[in-house]
Amino acid sequence: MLIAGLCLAAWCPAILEAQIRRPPPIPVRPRRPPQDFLRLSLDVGVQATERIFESNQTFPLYLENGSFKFDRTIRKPIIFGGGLAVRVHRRLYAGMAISVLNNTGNGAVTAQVPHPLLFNQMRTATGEVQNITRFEAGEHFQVAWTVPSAYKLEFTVFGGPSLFITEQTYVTELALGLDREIYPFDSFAFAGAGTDTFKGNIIGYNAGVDLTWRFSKNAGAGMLIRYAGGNKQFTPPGGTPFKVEAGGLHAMGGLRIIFQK
Amino acid sequence: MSTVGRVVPCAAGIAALLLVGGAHVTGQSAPATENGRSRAVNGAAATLASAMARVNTMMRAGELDIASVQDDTMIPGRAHERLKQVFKGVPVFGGQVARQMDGRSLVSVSGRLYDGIDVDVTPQISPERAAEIAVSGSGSGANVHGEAILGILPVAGAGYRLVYKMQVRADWDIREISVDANTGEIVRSFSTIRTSWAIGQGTGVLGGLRKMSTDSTSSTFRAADLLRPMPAYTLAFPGTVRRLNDFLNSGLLFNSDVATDSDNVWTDGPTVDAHVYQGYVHDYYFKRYGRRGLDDHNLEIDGIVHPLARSQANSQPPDVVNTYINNAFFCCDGVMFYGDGDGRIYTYLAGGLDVVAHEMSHGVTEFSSNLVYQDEPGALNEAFSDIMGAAVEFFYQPAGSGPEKADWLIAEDVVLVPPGYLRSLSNPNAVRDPDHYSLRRFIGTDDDNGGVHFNMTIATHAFYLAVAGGQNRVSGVTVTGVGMNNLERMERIFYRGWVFLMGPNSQFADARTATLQAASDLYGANSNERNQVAAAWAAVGVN
Repeated sequence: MLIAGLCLAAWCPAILEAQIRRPPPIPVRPRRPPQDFLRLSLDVGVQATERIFESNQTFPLYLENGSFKFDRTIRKPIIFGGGLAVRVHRRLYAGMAISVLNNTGNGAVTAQVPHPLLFNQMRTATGEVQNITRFEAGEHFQVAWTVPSAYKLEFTVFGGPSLFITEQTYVTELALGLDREIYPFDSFAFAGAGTDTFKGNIIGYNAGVDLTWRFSKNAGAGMLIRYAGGNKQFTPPGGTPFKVEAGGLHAMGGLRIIFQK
Repeated sequence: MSTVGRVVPCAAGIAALLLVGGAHVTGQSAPATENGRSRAVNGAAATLASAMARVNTMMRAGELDIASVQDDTMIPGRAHERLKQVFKGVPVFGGQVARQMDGRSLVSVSGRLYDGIDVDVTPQISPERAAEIAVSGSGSGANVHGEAILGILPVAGAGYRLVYKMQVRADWDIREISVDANTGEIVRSFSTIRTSWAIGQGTGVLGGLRKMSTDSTSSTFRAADLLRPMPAYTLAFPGTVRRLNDFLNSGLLFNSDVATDSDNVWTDGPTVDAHVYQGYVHDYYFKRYGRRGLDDHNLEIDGIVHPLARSQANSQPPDVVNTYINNAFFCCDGVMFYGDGDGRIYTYLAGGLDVVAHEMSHGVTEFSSNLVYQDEPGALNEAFSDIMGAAVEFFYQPAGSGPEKADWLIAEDVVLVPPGYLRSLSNPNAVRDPDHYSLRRFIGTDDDNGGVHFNMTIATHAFYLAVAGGQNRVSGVTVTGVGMNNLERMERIFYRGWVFLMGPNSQFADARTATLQAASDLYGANSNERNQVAAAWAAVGVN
């Protein structure tokens, strides 16, 4: 077999020459590293600022006008949130985050109740109203700019308009009347209140920063500080207008999921 | 005024006394109009044991059943049990006693139970048939609301009837109807629509704006104060001699006498002020002393305005004018008259808060010390009324001079002629009233019942000195006084002395002793208050 081969090479020089010539190199395109294109976040935290809801109303009673102040203070309520952002250019993202606050508790009423039989003899009555609900579902539209940093940290600045779907229980009236008066009428015992719920959309804005530690290619843990707020003037039927403020300073942390391509 | 057609003031007063004083009144017989044969069950102190025994016996026999237990909101730890009377398993309508308990201890028993019931409790007609009968006689839209309850109804003059009791609601009425459970006869039917409280706006004699406690009926508002524990009515007489004489001869007041207003915005000054000020005075006594009305049992008050019209001043003899026009007076059992004033010497007397307080305080005296209205006791009677008159002004009005201001003058808001007031506590001598015991006059004479409206200022001036201090003009004795900031303390001392510690024939010296004792009781034997009382009496020459 070997002998046969040598003979073939000797008798066929053209073939041999062809085998020695190298083929031209095939061009290789450089491989692009995978890039983030979609970021998801899930957060839980607190609204660090107190949210004070207050309404002042007046009412006619016994030929005079009485008044009451209703206030409900929510101290550092827990909020839940999440977000989605799509890379639109280089490190620029566009997306939307949500935050949800749902809190029920007691509100305080302080009333000035006219005396039934004497002019200018207001009696102060105080009391608590239960089941005062505050619900906020914030939708925060954002443009974000992400900057990678050392130690697998990413720093993101964001901002944009917000929309709060808001519900707030407020006191519409107090339980009043001669059948609730006790002689000699020098004091008035709070006997309850009627409530209604403000439901409306409040437009505001949001801005904040996010710091994410990326412990893998597709996941990380992040913390965000966001101020999102807005307010709206509301006039209850037959009542005095009051302002409903939504949002506040959010301090949250949670999971970051990053999709790359 | 009760809701019945007419009220005899004296009888009304007695009835009110009995009703509200049940725990203290024993053995009263049933009124002549009482249904069935009821027996009062009232027990407190000495009679408590027998009342308790009777109640216990009936409870063991199943003739009394606990219907409700209610905590006492006024005295902590006490409770009120209502025990309903039952006969052979069916309720006796109206038979009920109330037990006042202090923990496990019985405090009082009061109520009314029925004796001699002999009724077959098996009905001969069905409740449905009884309902048909009730509805058929109740006008358009009538229907039975709730259930028909089988029970025994005491009937005036006819013993007891087994009835179905039910509420029937028609288009314009709600009635409680009782249908005989054997014969189907409607035994009793009455409207249960009650009048309701209202707050009216009134303009007083001097133009002041007031709130009025009124009640509303379907068509009008009445000057009826049913909001306070003491029912109070203001009755507007037509101002005619005939109506006044009718009252003086019969003693009858009618529901139709009660002042009315169509829109609850009252413009008749005397009606407004009489009505409002009577309430103020009642409240003053309650807030300052815990006293519940003139008799301390929330006696009904009837204030009469326009007893004789001002226009009658020129045609009536002077004694009539001075009694019914230029005068206000406490009549009897909570009835007060407020004259119109002749417009020359006096304006409407109800316009003076001190005047109203003065007259009502006569009622307080009548139900307490009951000072005889003659000579020194009579002067003390009047003095107490002036002291309370001034005190009430200081309670409600800002101090000062002018209309509706608190001062030491009496009737200054209604006297039209100089010096512009009737009497002075601070300077009685300004209108030649005595400011010292040595100046007393008319004792033992018929003049002014022995000078009751004259000598009174000796005591009222003592009160003034004990409060505000000063030097007595006659004796030259100077009193420091407790000061206006402590006016309340002196009010309490004089009230206690007059109401609790004096009797019908008390003299000025007794008033001194009583107020000194009161001061010791309230503030101590060595207190400044007692010293000022002693100094004040000494200054006016009463030792």
